[in-house]
Amino acid sequence: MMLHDALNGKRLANYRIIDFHVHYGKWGVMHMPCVSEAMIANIERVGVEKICANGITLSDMAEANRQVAEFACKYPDQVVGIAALCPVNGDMVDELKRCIFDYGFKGIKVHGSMIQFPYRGLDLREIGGQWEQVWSLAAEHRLPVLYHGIVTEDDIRNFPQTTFVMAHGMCGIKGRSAKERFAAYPNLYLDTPLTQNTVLEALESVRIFGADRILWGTDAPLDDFAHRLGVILDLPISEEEKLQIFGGNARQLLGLK
Amino acid sequence: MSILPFLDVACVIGPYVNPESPPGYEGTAAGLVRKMDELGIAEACPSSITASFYCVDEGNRELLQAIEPYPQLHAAWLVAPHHTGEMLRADQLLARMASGMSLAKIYVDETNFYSTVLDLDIYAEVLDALAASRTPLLLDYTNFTHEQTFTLRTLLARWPQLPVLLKFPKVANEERVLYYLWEKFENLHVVLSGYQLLGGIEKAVARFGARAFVFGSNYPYFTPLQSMLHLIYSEIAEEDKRLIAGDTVRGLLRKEVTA
Repeated sequence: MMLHDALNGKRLANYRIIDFHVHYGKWGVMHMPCVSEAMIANIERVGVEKICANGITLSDMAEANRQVAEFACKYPDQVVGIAALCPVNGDMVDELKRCIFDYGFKGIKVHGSMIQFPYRGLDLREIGGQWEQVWSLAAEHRLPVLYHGIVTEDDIRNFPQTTFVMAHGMCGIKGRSAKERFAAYPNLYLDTPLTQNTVLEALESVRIFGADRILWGTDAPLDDFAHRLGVILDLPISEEEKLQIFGGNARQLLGLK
Repeated sequence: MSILPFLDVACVIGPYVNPESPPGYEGTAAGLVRKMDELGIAEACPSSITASFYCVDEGNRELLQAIEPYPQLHAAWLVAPHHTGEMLRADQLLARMASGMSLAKIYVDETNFYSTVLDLDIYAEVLDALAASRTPLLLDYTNFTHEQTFTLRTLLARWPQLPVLLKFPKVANEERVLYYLWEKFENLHVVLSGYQLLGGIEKAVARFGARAFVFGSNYPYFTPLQSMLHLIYSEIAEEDKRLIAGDTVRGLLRKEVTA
């Protein structure tokens, strides 16, 4: 039914889609034709109900979080704020508390590749940071941690009450045995965006992790909302499983109605 | 059934070189047609995996035989330099291709030891022939480096009558290259499978017209649904959607549209 509606270009509002992985702001390395507030028109056209926005591409996380808070405040029914954290910007715990208590953010985003020249490639864990306190605070406030680098397998194992979401994970863990190893951690989820969303990897991840541990995300504005519907819609899984991936799981993790 | 007249310029048939085939992929022309019918793709120009990875001539011959019963399939002939004698010369190749609607494809893979490099002098004879006959050329890159922009720019300038269908695995910061190329070269058409930017279709079409893009899916590596839905939901004129979905390529295949 959903596939039929999509192929006919109908708004998919009835399917309650949540995009778990959206970037607010620009990114200097590339031209992005449609950013920030302009994205709202796009989600409305496709019928995406909510986007989870993080400001990780801006170097100043406090300013990035402030901008995302403003965005979420302007579109409260459509935008869920996600706290961006980085140790080079100072006290991460203070910043996270501000995001939770002042802004009402519902999740955390950390990214290991945003460090700039000449330190590109440096492991952010090497320069310190209150990572363990952040993971504990995330568990306490039931905030899922969307991570691109930084989080290690030890973190996932040692913080079983914290929900970790591996960004790009659906097609990012190569090979069946690696997927099975990670799937053994019940607090680990995967999200769907990846440059190369291969059908094969996507289906293998759904089979091994289960549809209840995959979250639909686009990486917008690097990717188009409608484009990223396709990889899930064409999988040979049930409509119910697709709806879990498209929004049901995110709704549960974020504590949304 | 979809609402646009899709013609897929970037799909393959043949044995998939992977530990496990993607779900639903049969590797046959019949299987491709079933997938097209399921999603509402009217026509396609498949190329042969055998031609890319085993033997160009053999793969092309197998492809022709496989698609023969299906009028909705047109051949994407893999072309490679002929100087070793293992491939048809350009004039022979074009004579074979002239028998039906078809396009040519060069597979450019610089990612590993058995790489295929696009050297314009080595390919000059075949590119001359393709340009003279206005046969569309699918340039299929497995990766795209900034060094390759020089080759691409030179190709577009040296053969302005050659319609080039450019397939990248993924357009990200290549936009800054593409806008320059679209501005300078009318013969450039970017295949949608690698073009995934939010709002990107709208912006490029507003500036360069619908000729900026053609539909291609990268099936079976990607599901065709990705680019189909990207186009279906894009906010451009219906006529432009139809051109991108397939009508531009139909014109090129029939040699109606000249660069």
